[in-house]
Amino acid sequence: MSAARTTLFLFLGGLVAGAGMAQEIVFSGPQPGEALPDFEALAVNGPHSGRVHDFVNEYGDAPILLVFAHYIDRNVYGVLWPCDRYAAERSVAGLRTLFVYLAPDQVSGERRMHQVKKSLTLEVPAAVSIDGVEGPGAYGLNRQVGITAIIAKNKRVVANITLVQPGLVDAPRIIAEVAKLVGGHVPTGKELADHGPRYRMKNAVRTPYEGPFSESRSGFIQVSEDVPDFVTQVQPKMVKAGCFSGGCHGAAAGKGGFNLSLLGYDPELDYESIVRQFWGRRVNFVSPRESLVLQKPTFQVVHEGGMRFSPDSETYRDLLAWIEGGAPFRSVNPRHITSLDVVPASRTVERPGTEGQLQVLASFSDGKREDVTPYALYMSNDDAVASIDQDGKFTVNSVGETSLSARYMGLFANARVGIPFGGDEDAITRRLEGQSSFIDELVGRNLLRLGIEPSGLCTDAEFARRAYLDITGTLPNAAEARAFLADDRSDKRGRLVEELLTRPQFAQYWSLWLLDVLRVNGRTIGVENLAVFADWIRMGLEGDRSLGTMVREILTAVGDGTEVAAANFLRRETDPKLQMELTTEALMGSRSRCAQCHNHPFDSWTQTQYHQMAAFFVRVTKTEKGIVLTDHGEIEHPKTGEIVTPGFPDGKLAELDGDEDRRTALASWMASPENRYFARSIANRIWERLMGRGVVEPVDFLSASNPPTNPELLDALESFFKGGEGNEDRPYSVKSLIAEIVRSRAYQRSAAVSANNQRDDRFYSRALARPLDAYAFVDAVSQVTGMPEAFTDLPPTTRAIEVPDASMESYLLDVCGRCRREGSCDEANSASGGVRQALHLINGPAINSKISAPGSRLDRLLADKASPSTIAEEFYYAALSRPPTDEEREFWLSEVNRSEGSRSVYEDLVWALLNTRQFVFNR
Amino acid sequence: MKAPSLLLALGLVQGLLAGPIAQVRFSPDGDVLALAGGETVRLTRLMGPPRHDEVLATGIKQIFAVDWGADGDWLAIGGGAPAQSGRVELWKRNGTQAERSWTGFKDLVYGLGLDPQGRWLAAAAAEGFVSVFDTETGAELAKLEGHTAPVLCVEFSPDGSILASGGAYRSIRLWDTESWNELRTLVNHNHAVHAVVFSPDGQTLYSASFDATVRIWDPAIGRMKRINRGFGRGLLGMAYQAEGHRLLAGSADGRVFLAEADTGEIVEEIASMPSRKTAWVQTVDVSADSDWFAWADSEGRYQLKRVRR
Repeated sequence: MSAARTTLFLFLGGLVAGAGMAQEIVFSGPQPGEALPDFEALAVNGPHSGRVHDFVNEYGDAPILLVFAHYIDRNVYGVLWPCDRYAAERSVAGLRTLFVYLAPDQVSGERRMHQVKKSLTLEVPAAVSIDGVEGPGAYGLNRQVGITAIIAKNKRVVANITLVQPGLVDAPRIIAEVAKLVGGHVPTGKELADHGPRYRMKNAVRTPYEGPFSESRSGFIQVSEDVPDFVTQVQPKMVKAGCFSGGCHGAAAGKGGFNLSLLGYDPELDYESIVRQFWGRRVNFVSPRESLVLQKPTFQVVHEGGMRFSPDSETYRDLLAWIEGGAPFRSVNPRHITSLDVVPASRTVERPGTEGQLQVLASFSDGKREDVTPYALYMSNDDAVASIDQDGKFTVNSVGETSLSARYMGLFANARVGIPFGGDEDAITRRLEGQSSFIDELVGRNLLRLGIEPSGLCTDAEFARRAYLDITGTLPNAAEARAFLADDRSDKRGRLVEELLTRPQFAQYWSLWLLDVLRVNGRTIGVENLAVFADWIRMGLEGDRSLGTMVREILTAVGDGTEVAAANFLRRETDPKLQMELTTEALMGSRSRCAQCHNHPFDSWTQTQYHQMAAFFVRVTKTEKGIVLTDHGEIEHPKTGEIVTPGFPDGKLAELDGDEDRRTALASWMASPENRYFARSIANRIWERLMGRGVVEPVDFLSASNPPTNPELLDALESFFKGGEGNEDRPYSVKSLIAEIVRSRAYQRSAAVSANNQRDDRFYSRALARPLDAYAFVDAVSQVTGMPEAFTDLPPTTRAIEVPDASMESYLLDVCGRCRREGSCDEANSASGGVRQALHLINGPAINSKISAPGSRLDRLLADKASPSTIAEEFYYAALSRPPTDEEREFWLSEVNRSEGSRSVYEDLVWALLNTRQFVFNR
Repeated sequence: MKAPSLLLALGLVQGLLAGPIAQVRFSPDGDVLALAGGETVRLTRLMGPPRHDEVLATGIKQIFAVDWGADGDWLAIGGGAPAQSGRVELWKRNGTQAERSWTGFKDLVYGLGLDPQGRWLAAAAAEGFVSVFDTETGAELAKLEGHTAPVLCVEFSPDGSILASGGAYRSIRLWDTESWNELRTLVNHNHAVHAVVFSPDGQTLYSASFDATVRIWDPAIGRMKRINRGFGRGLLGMAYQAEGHRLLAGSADGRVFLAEADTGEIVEEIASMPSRKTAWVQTVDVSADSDWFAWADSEGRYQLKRVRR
């Protein structure tokens, strides 16, 4: 620390000067009353930059401030910058100003003045003397002084302030003299000391406030334009170096006592950790290269995390320049990222092993677009198809297509890469002919692009079974299956869809789905409440009510839940934050909970948005039976402690009307065009339920980092569900979207695979076999065996799809993978019963006892002395919705004959059917 | 009676150094303010005619701690090179070089405490222990282990019987200076403890933490008597004003608070650093005669305020 850099000054600077403590009276330049001569100087900025110009002549009779600096050091800076700010502001009052450096030679003088101009961000004209250190001869300047300030008007000097040892305290004196001519605020020494060179005079235009750290630094280092910006230039490079990763300092507990936010979601916190924590141990302003934050990651000091970047890397250079520049939070011209793009956005290659390079381009608020490829983070959604390293270099590994994501400063950009499946274009085109729905068109377009040959349409038997199970959760009985197969009308599939959607089982079955989505059961909201709520949902689906309307009601309902059914949804949780999380996850397919503590690392949710959304629910109180509203309650931002205004995930704040229920605004937004989540999420969920895989998977993770496999298709499904083309009369109709999907050829494709499409599991070239969910499975077993499952306290004929309370005990339903709705059901439903279910099917008494029970279907057929062939056919129709093939029939008849009609062979038949993939899966 | 310098006579003085100031400490006679930060300790004369600051050329790369002996004849200075080495030096008041130095630390020394009799020097180590040295012989008397994270501050009780240490992992530990055994651990803070201060009678211990609270303890039984919140963004420094029975505390939002020592309640926000959004008030001190307050921030500014004339 040099002595020259240390100043000790008074707030009452004028008193010091006035007391004449250290300043001897000297003269320099023309005195008051004398003429102001013209002179030429070399301009270093403005329109005359680089040329010799006569400024005094140009300024004419205007009020003029002329400052001659006989040398330039930090003390002279202390005079120049306040005069500059004042003069710039008072130029509107006609003040004309010129700073002249009396340099020994022009070359060094010009270089020095350029530094001054940059450091102080001078706004007024500056020049270098072309007359050397003496200055213009006509001025008679004194070489022994530091600054000669001349104030003139009408080309007459009105004041002359000569400073031998200039300093910040002298600036107000000069300004006060000029102010006598042109007015304006004369800053006090305290104001100047407090605010530093970025100080702007009162009434001048100020930089808009952009957050808590946007104020200028006024400490020991003056920030210049050259200093990198921490937020947009320094931190992203450290993120890339791995410092902010979950395995390093970005872990919740940090590492080695050094905590950073995960992937840099909280720049302010990170700035404090790096620059301020423990009295600044990590940054050395005196010897920047010795800063711990440089020495550790370059392994100049032992670092558990090893070497993260080298001393000759750009990351090191920028970090060093930032520390040398005073390590400001924001640069002189702060900016923010506005968008992120990746090039190429899509690429298909011919062979496995082909490599490529992604380029990532970031656009900033200052209009610049920068290549940030080295500093983005990369990940593949499916490494089996394509992998990517952290330089953005990717390798396509196998046939298929996947998404590669680039993340930079919290934004994501995705590229689709892959290898076409190689199907014959003509063959694919032929297979796709005759398609009429938007679904088929968009699925087909993808198949054609990827060279995937779609499977043919499924058989009528397959369709009947599939449609019955998907729409009603119920197998077609033998008579229904026979009737459908016998129907020779060309539109029988469409007719069946329409007919199934009118059945009460549709509403029963799909209300279970909606209850799963909403995660309510009798334990969490009360058994009586659950019954009321389930009934309300069932009737809503049966009556084809708009789901948007229903959601609006469940978000705004108040009252006793046993009377006001819609009031039961939010009773699932008591905490407003949990109510918000439930709402976003269930109704928007978006995982918001990470954002409670920090900005979501893989989504666009910010911590602020999380709490803004939670603020909608803060006045909701759960009572024993219902929901009431209170007139008080606020959410505080955990970081700032400030009260949060309710707002939406798109960043807009809610416009609230006085004491109105805050949730009303949320409910209106939920099913509005502005909300890109709700309709998209529900459409994706319904698609997944019918097709076996969502366009986005998992269905509760709609995120920028998790793009759809067919974006156009998801857009179209969302649009249709919202009441777009073809569905104008039925917006948010679950029935309508189900009908549209089930009628499509994409839905009706066979599950049979070809050599070409066997590896496709996400582009809908074939039907994906799906295990029956617990409800449909239990009912199917009951239906095939003729022995209903007994549910405690419910009538003996009650079917599983008529049991809405998932907290009600049922061993068989649980074994078969029923979701109890204690948490998200998305994973439970997709996995179904798994191994446990399989073992119970094989050996479990629950199944075997139904097969052999007195009064079972088999028992009745045997009692009726039905022929072996009839029995076999009856069970094939009941279980698989088709007759046995000749081979199957022959096998079973021979078995019956071999055992001389033993009952056990028939029981084996039923057991075997219940254990076939054709029965257990919806294909 | 000595007259304050002309500058001080004007009431409030501030200055600017070329780096963050980690600690300010008045000499016991009130003549000098020691400013520690960067690689130097700067001694600013407060009384008598104006003189250039005296800069001590220590062998310490980054200085984080400074403490005067009770008689003002000795000045202890500590710091080091982060994650590499720590060093403590003991200087005579008007010395030109360190009389004694201690090395062997593998990380910084964050805090120093000289006992009232000048026998012992305690050093708070970033490595998570406190070293106690005999100032006369230089021998290490004890290495007090128990903290599980960097130790940030140390303070001897006025009678020298207890040493208090505060750590980054929220705890305060009290040590018996006869046996150097741990007496008790005080755990209640939610963040790093940056300052521990005894009342003049030694009956009360005050702690200031980055959890923005001041907690008041009975060190004899280890019970927390009071907790007071609202100290801005988090506290980094605290000092006791005997006359007036107040606590001076510096916050990470650039503010300096004065609190009632009995209750810990804030009675006044006595200063707000110019750029409080960015500057942290890292250290505060009160002169022995209680006439002067000093504080300094992370941007190199320091301020002195005369509170009594």
